[in-house]
Amino acid sequence: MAVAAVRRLAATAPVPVFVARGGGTGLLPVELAFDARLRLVVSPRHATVLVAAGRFPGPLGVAVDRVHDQLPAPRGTLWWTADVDGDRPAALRDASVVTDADPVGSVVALHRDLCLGRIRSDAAVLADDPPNRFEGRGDHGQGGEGMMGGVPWGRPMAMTGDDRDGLALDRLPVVLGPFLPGFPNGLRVHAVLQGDVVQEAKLEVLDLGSGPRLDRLDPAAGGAQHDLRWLAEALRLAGLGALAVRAARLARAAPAPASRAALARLVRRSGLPAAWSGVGVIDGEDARARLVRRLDPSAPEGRSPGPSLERVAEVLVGQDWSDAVVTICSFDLPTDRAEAVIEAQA
Amino acid sequence: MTAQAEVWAAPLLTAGVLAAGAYVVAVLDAAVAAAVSGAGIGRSVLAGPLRRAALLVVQQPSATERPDAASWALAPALYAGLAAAGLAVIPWSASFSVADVEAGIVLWGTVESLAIVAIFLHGWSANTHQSLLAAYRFLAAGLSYLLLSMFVLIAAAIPAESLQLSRIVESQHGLWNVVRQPLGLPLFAVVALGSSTWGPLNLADGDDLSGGTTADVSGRPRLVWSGARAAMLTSFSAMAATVFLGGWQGPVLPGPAWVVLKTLVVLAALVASGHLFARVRTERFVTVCWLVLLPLAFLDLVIAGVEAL
Repeated sequence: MAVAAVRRLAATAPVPVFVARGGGTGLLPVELAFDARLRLVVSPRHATVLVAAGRFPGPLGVAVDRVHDQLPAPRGTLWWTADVDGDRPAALRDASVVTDADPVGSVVALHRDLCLGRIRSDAAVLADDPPNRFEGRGDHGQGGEGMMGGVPWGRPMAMTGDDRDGLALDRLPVVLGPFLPGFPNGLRVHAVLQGDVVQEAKLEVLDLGSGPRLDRLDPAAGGAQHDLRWLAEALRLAGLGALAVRAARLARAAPAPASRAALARLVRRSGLPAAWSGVGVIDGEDARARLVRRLDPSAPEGRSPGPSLERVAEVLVGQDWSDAVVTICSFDLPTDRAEAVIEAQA
Repeated sequence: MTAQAEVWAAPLLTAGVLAAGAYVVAVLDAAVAAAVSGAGIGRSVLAGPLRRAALLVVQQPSATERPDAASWALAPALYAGLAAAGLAVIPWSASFSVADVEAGIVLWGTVESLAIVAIFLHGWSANTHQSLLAAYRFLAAGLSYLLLSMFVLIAAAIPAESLQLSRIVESQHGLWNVVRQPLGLPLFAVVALGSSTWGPLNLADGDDLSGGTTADVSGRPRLVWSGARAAMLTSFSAMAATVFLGGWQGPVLPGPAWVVLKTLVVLAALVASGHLFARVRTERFVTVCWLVLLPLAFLDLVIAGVEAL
């Protein structure tokens, strides 16, 4: 009885949604934040509904499967796509498909049905097996040297190595991405960390496929709209979720200059530009400058093509991981852009 | 019977106040978020926290690969317990506090230092990257802000000539410490935000690290952790009200009502800061802490000492 009452209450909660952005969506899914019936969450562990937005060919599909299995039960999946004939990874095989502009209604209904037990929670799609063979190699059978190193269960363990202060500390190889907060679509970082300092970094963009797009930016207002979506993502990263919602709402409608200016004022007062100053400098421009440029509604060209992935990787070395995330986000790397496609066609 | 009732009344009162405090924090947070986002404050602000809590009750707790299971389960409980221990020393009126220990300030200091352990443990024990990275950066900040608290609280104890909180409240008769030692409250607010890992000092559970120490936590453990963070913020606000805003003292209304009112004012300010100010950068915060805030805290102590002479 009490359990049923709790389930009914849970069914009315704002739906925690984790969005995996694939190919052909750009930053469009960021706009979902505007709707009070949803809560965009930053970890799949916090979500009941996984919204897989766009195309997921090859390795990106494997990544979606992995994220899918991290959602706690009760969980469900929606595939939001303009291309229903595209690659369909295991996690999306039984998912409901939404092709229209607004998936919110479907998300809310899915959450309600899951909480009330009307439909079954998604089963895991990956086997719970170690992806790497490692047993029996090395001193302790973990595959490395001594008590360190090796790749047990597919996770590389730390080995010692020289650091910037001349000490020999643990170096941990990690692979982060592709669906992390602030990361552009399909980006994956192969990094070696000592503590939280990046020692080596390599950036990789997974194949995003090609075909019809979900985000069709108006070429006239597209730049401003994209900047607002980017701002929503950046503000969420900085812990300013409420301002991110405001930016997402502005991105949905062609905003009056006054409301954009009001948002810019709030962002300037939040101390975010100061927090980003001196971070991720390339060609004399830091993350702060890139943020401020996009805040200004009168600036015609907020966007630039962005530096190469190799140059960004160089800048990441020596930063702590939090700064590395800010750096990556601040560049707004054009991994998957509607306007890039428009330009290519023109 | 009466003696037994008294034994149970104290912990029940503390737990009740903290639970109510956590709910109020969630409501205030939703209200400020609605106002800042421009959505407008609706009735959902009141029911929202209960609905979200219900969802976490229904949700399955996450498992990770080889976690330190005991620490992972104990960290939220330790954190909540610390919030309760801290609240216990708050005097509610001239004659009543749950535990008016002689060295109340020292006990509070223990709560602050152990809170750092609980938060680090929460990030460390999941055995996952993002939560450990968040725990690292929190620790760097935590070791930096902790000294501020000791200086400003000792400064508040000087005019009272006692480490006992009831005496510190009495010493503010006629002149609150917020006026006598104007640096104290803002510096203590920094410690409050850090220890509750809230708003601009939410380094442990930040969205940029996928939720930090909570990145791999779901279901009931997450509910306990979120509740404990809000409870910690409540305890800190009550402490700020007691040490800097005259505690239970005030006209007309009874003492406990003044404590509640003043606590709510501090709470509202702290919660609002979370939506108006961006998260600090760890490296810069540590620098500012040691080079600016710590000297200011020392100055606060000197001012209190000179005044006492």
